[in-house]
Amino acid sequence: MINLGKIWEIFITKYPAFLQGVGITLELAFFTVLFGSVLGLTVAVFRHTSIAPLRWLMNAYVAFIRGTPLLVQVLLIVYGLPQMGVRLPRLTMCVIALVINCGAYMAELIRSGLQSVERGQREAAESLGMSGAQTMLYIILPQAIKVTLPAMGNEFVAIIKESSILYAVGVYELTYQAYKLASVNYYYIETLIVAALIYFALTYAATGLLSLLERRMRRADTSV
Amino acid sequence: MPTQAFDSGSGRDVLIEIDDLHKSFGKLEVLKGVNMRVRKGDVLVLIGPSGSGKSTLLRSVNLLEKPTSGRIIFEGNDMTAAGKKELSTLRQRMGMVFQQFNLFPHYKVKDNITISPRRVRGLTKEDAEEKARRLLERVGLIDKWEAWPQNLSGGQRQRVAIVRALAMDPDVMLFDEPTSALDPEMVGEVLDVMRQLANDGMTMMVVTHEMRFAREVGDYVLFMDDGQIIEAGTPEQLFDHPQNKRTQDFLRKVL
Ligand SMILES: Nc1ncnc2c1ncn2[C@@H]1O[C@H](COP(=O)(O)OP(=O)(O)OP(=O)(O)O)[C@@H](O)[C@H]1O
Ligand SMILES: [Mg+2]
Repeated sequence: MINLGKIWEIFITKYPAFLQGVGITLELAFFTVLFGSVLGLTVAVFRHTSIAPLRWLMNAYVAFIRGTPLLVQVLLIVYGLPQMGVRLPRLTMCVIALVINCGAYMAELIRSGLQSVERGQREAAESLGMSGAQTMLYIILPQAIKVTLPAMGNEFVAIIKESSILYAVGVYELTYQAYKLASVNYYYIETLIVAALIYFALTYAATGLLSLLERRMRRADTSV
Repeated sequence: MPTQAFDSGSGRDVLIEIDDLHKSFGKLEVLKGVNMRVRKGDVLVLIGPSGSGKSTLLRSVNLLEKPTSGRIIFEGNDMTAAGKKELSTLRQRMGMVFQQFNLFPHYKVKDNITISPRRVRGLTKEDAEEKARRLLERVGLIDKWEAWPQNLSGGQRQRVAIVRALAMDPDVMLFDEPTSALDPEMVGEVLDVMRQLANDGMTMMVVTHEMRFAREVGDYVLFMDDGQIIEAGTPEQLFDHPQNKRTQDFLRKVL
């Protein structure tokens, strides 16, 4: 049977551990989305380059990342880098793995954002004498990013959840904290329910915040 | 059917020379050898049935469409042979106005107008804005300086689009059906701006279905059909005494 009182008790007595986990989870999600967006943007832009090998490389990267499990990618980085002599804090390696993963998905999102910009925008920019790079920078990208932002926000929510697999490599994020507690107190269900509820609160709050921002942006759109 | 080569031949400088221009989209041959000259100060109006290649011709002039063969010589420079950089430089001197306006929705009116003068020509913000204000005043839209394009009427958008092109100090202006997307009551305000521009001596190539405008403002009217210039002349010649059977048929339908 599930002991409901125990859920509360675990949360109240062990909240510092959970809070630490929440901190690391949010930190992971924040930096992953931040650097992942930059990486995705770069990849998306270079997928339009006229330099064919660079284009192929970018396409291969996106295809490979999207076609392999996140956990395998994480293990590859976390155990692969040290084997190649690269010594980094484990948390940093995890961020690297998540960024590499997130970048591919962001690149896809931004790609569809770029495609959603009307052809006439590019033509107008070019007819004004803008170079390809200027057209991209001043005209196409800002519009593409604007339509992509909501999806990028969802990515943040997704990473809050997906980063839980990092428990497998011993990063003290929320899932690891819960798992560690449970293996000591043997209240697996109760302890993990606490973790689940915290995840839910986080994603619920993040989703709400994002849709608020989105509404703000849309309102700014129609104001003079 | 022999292809007409058009040249107003009035001794003024040749701005654009279009030399045996062909354009195909896949198997579809849309331009079948167009030859013409645009001289400084010419206001040329292109008319013709839908699908005859008017837009394609206009878009080929500033290389938005890459010709399959033939040459575009603009102020002595071969556009068709130009590298990317030279092409951008040449395009700065050719303004283009589109049927769908194509204003930049993420910039206010003032920034739509000043972005290219600033980023492409390197004007200071102050200089670019001063010039933009002057041009906006001329088209009666100075009160829209801070407005977003989305909040303008179609006619206002198109006037801003014209100003945006003019802000680059072009030597020639290309108009592709600038009034076709407008509600009827807004057509006049855009045509007025174009009329004013023509009176100021701007060189213009205008694709339009506004036959009254063609007659009043055009120095010459060119009738296109099936990828060729079939007949060309002054508005009086072309509208009142069309020589070619296809021109006559077309005019009977539209007038
Ligand atoms: N990018 C393209 N790809 C394929 N076919 C095209 C393309 N652009 C134009 N065409 C075709 O070329 C032909 C000529 O088109 P164009 O737009 O130049 O005609 P138009 O004279 O401007 O007609 P309208 O009065 O309807 O604007 C049409 O059959 C059109 O479908
Ligand atoms: Mg057309």
